[in-house]
Amino acid sequence: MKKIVKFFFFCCFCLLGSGFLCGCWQYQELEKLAVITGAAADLVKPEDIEQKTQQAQKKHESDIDEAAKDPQGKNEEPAKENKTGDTEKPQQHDGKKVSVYQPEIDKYLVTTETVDLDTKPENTGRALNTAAMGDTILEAARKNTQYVGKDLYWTHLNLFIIGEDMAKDGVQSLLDFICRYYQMKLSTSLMVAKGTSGADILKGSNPSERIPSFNIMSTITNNAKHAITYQVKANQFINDMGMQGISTLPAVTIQPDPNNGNPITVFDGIAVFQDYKLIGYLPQQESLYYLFAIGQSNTNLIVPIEKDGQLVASLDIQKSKTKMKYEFNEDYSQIQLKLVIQIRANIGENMVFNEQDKQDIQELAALANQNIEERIMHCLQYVQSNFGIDIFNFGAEIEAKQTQLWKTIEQKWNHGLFRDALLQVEVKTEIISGSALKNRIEMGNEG
Amino acid sequence: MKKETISGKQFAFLLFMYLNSGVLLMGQNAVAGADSWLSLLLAAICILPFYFIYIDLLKRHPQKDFFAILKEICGPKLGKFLITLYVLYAIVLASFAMSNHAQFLHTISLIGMPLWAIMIFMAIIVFLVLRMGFEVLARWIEMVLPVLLAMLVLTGILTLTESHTIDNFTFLYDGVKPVFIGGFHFLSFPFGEALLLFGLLDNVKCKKWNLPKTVCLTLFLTTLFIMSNFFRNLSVLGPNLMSILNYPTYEASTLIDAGIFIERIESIVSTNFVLSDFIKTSICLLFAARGLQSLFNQREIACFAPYLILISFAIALFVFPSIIMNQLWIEQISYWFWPLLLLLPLFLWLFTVLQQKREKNKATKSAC
Amino acid sequence: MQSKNNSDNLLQKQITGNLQKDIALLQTLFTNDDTLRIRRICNTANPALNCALLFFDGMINMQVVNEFIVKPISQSPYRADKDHIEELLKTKIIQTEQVETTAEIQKISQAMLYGDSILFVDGLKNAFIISSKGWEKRSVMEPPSEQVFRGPREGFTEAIMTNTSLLRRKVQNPDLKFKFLNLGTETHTKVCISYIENLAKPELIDEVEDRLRAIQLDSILDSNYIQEMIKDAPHSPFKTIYNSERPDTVAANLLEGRVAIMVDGSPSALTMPAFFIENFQASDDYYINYYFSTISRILRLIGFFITISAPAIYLALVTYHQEVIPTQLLLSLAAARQGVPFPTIIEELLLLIAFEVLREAGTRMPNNIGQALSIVGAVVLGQAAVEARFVSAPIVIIISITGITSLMIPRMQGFIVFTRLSLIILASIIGIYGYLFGMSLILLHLVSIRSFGYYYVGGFASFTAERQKDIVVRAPWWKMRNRPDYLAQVRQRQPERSRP
Repeated sequence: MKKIVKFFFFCCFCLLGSGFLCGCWQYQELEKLAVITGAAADLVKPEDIEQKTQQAQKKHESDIDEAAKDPQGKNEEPAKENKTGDTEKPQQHDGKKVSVYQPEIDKYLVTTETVDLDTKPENTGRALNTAAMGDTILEAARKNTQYVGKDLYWTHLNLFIIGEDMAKDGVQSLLDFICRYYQMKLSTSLMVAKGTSGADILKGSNPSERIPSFNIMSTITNNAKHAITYQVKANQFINDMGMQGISTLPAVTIQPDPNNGNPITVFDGIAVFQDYKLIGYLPQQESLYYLFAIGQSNTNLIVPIEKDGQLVASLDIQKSKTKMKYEFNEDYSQIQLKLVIQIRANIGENMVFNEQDKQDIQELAALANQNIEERIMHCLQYVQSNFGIDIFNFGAEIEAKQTQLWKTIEQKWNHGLFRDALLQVEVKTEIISGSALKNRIEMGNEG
Repeated sequence: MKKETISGKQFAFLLFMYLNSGVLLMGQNAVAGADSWLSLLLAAICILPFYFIYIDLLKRHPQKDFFAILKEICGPKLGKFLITLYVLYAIVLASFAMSNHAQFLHTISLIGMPLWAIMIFMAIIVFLVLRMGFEVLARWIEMVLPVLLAMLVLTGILTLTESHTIDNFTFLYDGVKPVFIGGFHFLSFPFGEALLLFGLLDNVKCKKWNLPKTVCLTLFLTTLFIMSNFFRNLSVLGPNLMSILNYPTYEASTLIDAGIFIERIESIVSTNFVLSDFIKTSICLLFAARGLQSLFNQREIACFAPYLILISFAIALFVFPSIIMNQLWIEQISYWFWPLLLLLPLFLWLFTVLQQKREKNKATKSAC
Repeated sequence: MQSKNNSDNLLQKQITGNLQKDIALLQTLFTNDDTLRIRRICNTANPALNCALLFFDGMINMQVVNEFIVKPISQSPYRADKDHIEELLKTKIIQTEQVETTAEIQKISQAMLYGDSILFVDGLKNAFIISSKGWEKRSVMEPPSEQVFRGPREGFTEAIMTNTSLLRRKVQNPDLKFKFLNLGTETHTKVCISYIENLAKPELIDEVEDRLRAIQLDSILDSNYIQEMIKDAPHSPFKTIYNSERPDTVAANLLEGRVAIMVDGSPSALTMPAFFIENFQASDDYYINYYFSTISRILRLIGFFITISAPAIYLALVTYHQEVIPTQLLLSLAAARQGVPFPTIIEELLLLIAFEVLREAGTRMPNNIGQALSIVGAVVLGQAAVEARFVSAPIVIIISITGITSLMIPRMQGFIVFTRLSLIILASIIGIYGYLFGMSLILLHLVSIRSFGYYYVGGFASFTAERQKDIVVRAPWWKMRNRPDYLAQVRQRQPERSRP
């Protein structure tokens, strides 16, 4: 008897074990994956909704006609339309009415960019764009499978472009998708499409790379190095939202290339978000100094120096440090903010000053101080008057220094306290070197 | 019964890994929030005298392990009942660790696999450890821990490139009470559970190494390690994100972007967590096996291995099926084991001290 | 069976003293053996002296027999009576280097089978065993499997006496002892235990001897027979007993306090206890520059890891954890796999099997076909398979890296082949966690086995500075002051403060 029992258990183990060997659950071959390199999320346009509603209605009417012919479905009532254009279809089942959930007309459009791995050499490596609509971001993202044909692989996604209409509607669902889905990376870079939809920017062609999203990613990292714009990753965005409910994202737009008219993607300004909704843009000029003020543009910002309206020199900033000093009045209804910025810079270009002369250098530094102060003040005032919210994170510094005080004024900060704040900017420039030149190029006539 | 000896270094390594296992993955305590590090520190300071009590208890009863002491002091029947309680606790804890590990892998990468398929591998390797004995595990960890630690430290350093200065580092934002509640919670999970590790020791007399000093140093290093982990998570992810993530340490390592080649190494980092869960499960089940050995007066613990594995496998599958249940267990139910972990050994120790004092007095009296 | 019983009975007998009867006895013992030769010798001066010399043709040195046995006996002028003739023959007449007398047939047959000649004298109750071994044997040359860049090029041969002489020349110490045993119930092979008296622990020597005496095999044709019988962990794929064909390696091991076993008929000597790290040590590590040898050792360790892990890790990354691979590499790998019908694991297994077939065929092939085979193998496996889209190009690279690194450590071949395959299968089940599971299992097993009472991992586990001098790093000789502390009795190798 024992031998039979042993044999029986042995067979059971073999069967169990063989279950492991037949290509397990998570086994995925490389070529069966569609590697997604870029994605964009937009709201579905109203024209598309109209079209979809009509289509759904037509289908429903044809369903009813068919059911009328069918003897079993005699007792069906005609479909009712509610206000949003949805169609409800109460069904009957054994004499009871069961209302069937008919989902809302699709809200989100998610465009994905995958790489075509066709065996034909001229097609390999080219980007394929697909788009799908869904009620939620997750649904729309998953629906792309039916156009791509392969299993979607979001793990290598580095870039997510948010369309302007979606940004205005609110990006909370998108961020939830990015954090929660196990395949998405938290370090995905986010950006807002200014004036267009995300899909357009993703599809915009560019001559250097076959895959647009790689191009956009390298553009943003290079631009961040040159302090023209900055790269915001999803975890950073969520963090800033969590602190005060205010955050910023780079804005990207399409412009025709002046050389050949092809559309190219250009970073133009900063988008300002409050409570997950887009409230406006900072123009490019102001955004340069915004980045400066929050300490994101340490290196290689070129600052043109003007004297009496004329361009005389430019500085190449190497290092900058921003300190904020503040002072409240007696009843804490107004705050006086003073920004002290220390800059170390090289001379970028010099047309006028004599670099060997100490006084000239001092004059250049003073001019630089004046110029930069003006521009930063302009930026601060722009923010105050147009948005009235603190996108510079000054509130966080006050919270860190005086926690108990912050608890009392927290509610008022973005609702008037910052807007009515008195601003002062002080810049101290230190000019280190003239790069490769000792002095400016002189003309022969001058003494 | 085979005599098993482990060296001080091996014990320190085991303690380190065991204490780290639960906390490495989890982030902040729900109650204490951003001040979790303070509650951790508090718990560590409070648990140190308890560790000394465990060691002293074992020293005062030479050649006896924890279960023999229980039987001797509490009497045979009560002792057996208490041993049963401890064994049950150890089995539940082991199942919890197994289920934790399976859910972690299931959530982050092996999403298609059913939980039992992931748990089977852990079950097999723990079964082998039970058959081989405690000594083999100690030697194994002596070889593995340096590598593991190096990996953890390296990924910690790599994530520093992504860290932001903690702009709003708040100190005692919600007051002192949450810190104490969090500290009490940390006391029973994970620090109090070290009793299971001390309970595996037979004989604490050793000339080469000083056990209290070793334990002190290990506790200090462990706390330092967990706290640095916590601060790193805080600076990389930010307080808002950290409080909502299930596995903050893992998510923090997804942000590593040190170069083209070292981009997404979190699959390799997740192997660390797998190994630490393995240590915890094996130690808990070894403790349970020892308890069963003293209950049924057997010679070897290897004969209990299949039963223990099957029981904990079943409990892990049916009692801890979801992450939500696990978190509930950690945050609410694990509170209630502190009498078993802390009070009972304290009582045993006091009893032993008094008894030995009495005997000494008797001896001096009779001498006079 | 009956003949076996008969020969057993015969072997228990003793010599009668009657020449005819004794010769008949031996002829019965060696019935049907046509190589048995009987040479009757008589002495011219002593007509009463009637001898017969028995030997096996081919086993004896003919010159020795002719000149130093037959000639002196037949031409000896000495006379003696029956009581003194034994003494006379032994000391004055027979001119070979070793003469013994015995009456047991067992000893006689053993000696004859080994190449000695037996002299029966009519009327004497003892027979003479005269050493006259002269069989053909291989000359001392460098062992092909353990070649060195620099160092002695001697290797053990199949004759146990030559081997002992090679060892004795290395260790000219009266403490070097050789103990002989006869093992194998049918083959009666000579086995020799050697050790250095003050260095090896007495418990170890006793343990080795006990284990050897417990062997009940019928034949010992190679030292591996003994190795498998006395191993500590017989089911383990690890070798807990080291074997080497070089006398300098064995001598170095003896000097560290180990015990060596040599088997007659096998050029491989065994040393015990063995440690895991010895698999990665080559003898010429000690004969070349220590920086270079340290780098070589580290390279061997890395090669070992690569050869067991590379296919498994590649499989895990490509099928389960594609997120670890950088995007560009991932796209080119996916492009390379277009049109390939087999899943990655099948590709890997196919190529591995093909590689093993090639390796095995290369070992068995005669040399002149070997070259053509390697060309065919390279062309077929590499080029044509990829172009025909049987396999993808990255797999070929991975498998060739695996194959090349496996040739770095010939000692661990068995283990490597087995482990590589199991790691691949585990990695195909749950990805990198399966690989981790496999490696943990291997490490657990490695840590639990012992070799003659010592932990197999030796110096790896407890990390002290002293021990690191000869494990992965090879410290220069002027630094290696002490012997490994877990092994030898006497620790000091050099006096304190010795300088280069």
